[in-house]
Amino acid sequence: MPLSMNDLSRKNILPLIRLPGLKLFGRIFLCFWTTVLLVLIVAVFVTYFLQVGPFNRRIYQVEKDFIRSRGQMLVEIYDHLDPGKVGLLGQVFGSRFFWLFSLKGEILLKSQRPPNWPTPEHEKLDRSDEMANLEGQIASAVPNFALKKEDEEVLIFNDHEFLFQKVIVESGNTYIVVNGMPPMRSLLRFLENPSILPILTGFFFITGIFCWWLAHSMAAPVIGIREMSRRFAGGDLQARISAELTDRFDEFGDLAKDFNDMASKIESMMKRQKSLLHDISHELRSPLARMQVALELARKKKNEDNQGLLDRIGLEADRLEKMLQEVLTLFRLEDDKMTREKETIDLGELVEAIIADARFEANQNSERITWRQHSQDPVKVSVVANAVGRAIENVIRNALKYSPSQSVIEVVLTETERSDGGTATVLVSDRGPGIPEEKLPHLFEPFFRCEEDRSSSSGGVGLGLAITRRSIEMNGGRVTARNRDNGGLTVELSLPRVN
Amino acid sequence: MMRILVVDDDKELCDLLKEFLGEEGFSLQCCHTGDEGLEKALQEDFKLIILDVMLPGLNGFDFLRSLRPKSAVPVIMLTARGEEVDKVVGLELGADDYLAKPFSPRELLARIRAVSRRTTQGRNLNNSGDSLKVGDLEIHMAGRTLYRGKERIHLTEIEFQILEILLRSAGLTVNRQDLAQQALGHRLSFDDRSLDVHISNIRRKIGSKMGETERIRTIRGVGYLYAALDE
Repeated sequence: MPLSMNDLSRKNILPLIRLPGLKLFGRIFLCFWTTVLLVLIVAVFVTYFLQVGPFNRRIYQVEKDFIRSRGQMLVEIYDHLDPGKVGLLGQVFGSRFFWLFSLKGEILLKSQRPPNWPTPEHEKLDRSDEMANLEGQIASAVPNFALKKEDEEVLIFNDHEFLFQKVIVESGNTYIVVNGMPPMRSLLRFLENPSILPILTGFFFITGIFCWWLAHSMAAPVIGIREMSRRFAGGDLQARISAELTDRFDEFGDLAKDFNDMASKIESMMKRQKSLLHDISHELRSPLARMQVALELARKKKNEDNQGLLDRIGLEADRLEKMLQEVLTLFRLEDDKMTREKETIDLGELVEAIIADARFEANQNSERITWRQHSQDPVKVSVVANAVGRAIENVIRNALKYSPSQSVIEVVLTETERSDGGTATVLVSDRGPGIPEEKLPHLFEPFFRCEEDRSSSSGGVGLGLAITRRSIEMNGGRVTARNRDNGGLTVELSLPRVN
Repeated sequence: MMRILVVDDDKELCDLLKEFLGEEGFSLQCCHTGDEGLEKALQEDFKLIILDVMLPGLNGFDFLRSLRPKSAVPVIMLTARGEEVDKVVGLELGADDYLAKPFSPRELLARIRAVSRRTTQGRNLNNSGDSLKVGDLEIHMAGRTLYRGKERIHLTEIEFQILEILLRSAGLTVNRQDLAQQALGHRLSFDDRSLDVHISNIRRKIGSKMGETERIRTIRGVGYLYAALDE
């Protein structure tokens, strides 16, 4: 398919301008540069039209006057002169082209260049052919001019101007003098100067540098502020704009300071909120512990009527406990201090231990979980082992919980090779109901529920997968989920490998 | 009646536990500060101490640090949920087992029974006067004592139990889960480091090597093996 100009520009030029960061920079740069260049052009033309132009015209006029009186003088002298001495006159006035015609158009006299005179630039006419041709043209125009009322006229032949004059001398004879005029100077003659190209290039280059610097100095703070606001929005509450920017004495400096103020306020607000939630979760444990003991005591009273209700209270207490546990786990994962506990472990061994655990809990039914590792070598990862272990465990538990009891859960460990280690990926696939596509992105959010099953028998509190994501991300990995072709869900946990 | 000391600042919880465990045949004494508890623990003879880590004054760790040189009484520690560090530190300081708070009372009961079973086992063996010698180590079931050559080494109840199991199967690999089941009375989840901490405590006390031979060898993914068979 042929590309039209339009396609090309859309494909190649627009993305360049729309590149993040280049947008503002490019716009400012182009604006300033265009302005500077336009100013240059306008300045040059104004100067020429207002100054050089009139000046040129005046010179032209003076020359014309001079040529006119010269022509008159020539005719006066010719008329008075002996016909024998006329030849010398051609040389005396020979510094310029001229022809003296009778009214009928016969050449009476023409300029003869003195032998040792240099030829002026603008009169470099070919002496033979072109001259003869020109002379013919002029001669044929003379009778025409003779009939006209005007005493003089400027006619152009071969791009050269010639002044035609009717001169009536005292004796009553009328002659026609044709004089070559110097050419009017072109306004753009300066462009023909060979040194103009390096000068213009230099000008483009220097203004380019200045405009680039200006655009950069305006766009850079915006880019810097934007980057920080993105990091802040991405959850890095400690993101602050550097002093280099906040110390500026302009609006950018003010904006940067305001941003930092806002960020500090939000950060401390978030911290207060978090510590409040953390404290509440912490404090709730004491009454819960007492409640659980009291519940056991109540169970022993052997009141058959209440056993069902007590079981129910027990179930809810367990749920509450689990929720508290998970909330506190999530809090702990938010704490970056944990990453100090990183150690290098064999991911395969960890997954195997978790599966052994899960099989044990699934009543020794080892058929339910299949386990495959692609390579025999240890898959080394540098992680907080407990956190990653819990992440994987939660995913496997989820799979067990949401898939039919006879279906098989596949756990696979694969790895990609790269010089810097590559990634190790644990895939957990089940044959459960899967997740509606539109809800997939929310799967790893806290308290996400697929169906409206708040009171479900599943028993989870909805923090398991949030813990999974946080644990994996804390260790520099990524978690994704996708539906399988024939029903079910695959959760993919990838972690950077180390050598 | 088995006497248990509970050191926890939550008075209401102590009262409830007293009632609950009382019905199971245990006699509970409660202390609400670490100092008071330590004094009581050293003066009287308890079969078990249930110790909360978060205590006013002398906290649970300081309590253990002061208790251990003087007494080998089994200690079950109550840690804050999710505080991995607490568990490890507690076990390293010589606690026998831990339970995250809030706990299921039935779970607590199971742990207490496991510990008391071990103690009774010890009692019974006490009468048999049995002893076991592997390499330079010699254990006497009678006094629950361990000698390396002539030197007596003090182990906590749980450490003694684990070492005994390893020595009885010296030269053979003992599966992690079996070891935990026998010594701790419960299985280990993948992130449960308690057995590893006990083993490292034992290694520290008996010396990690006999000559050039590593005493307790870790068999990755399986369990442990006592390897120092000959002098």
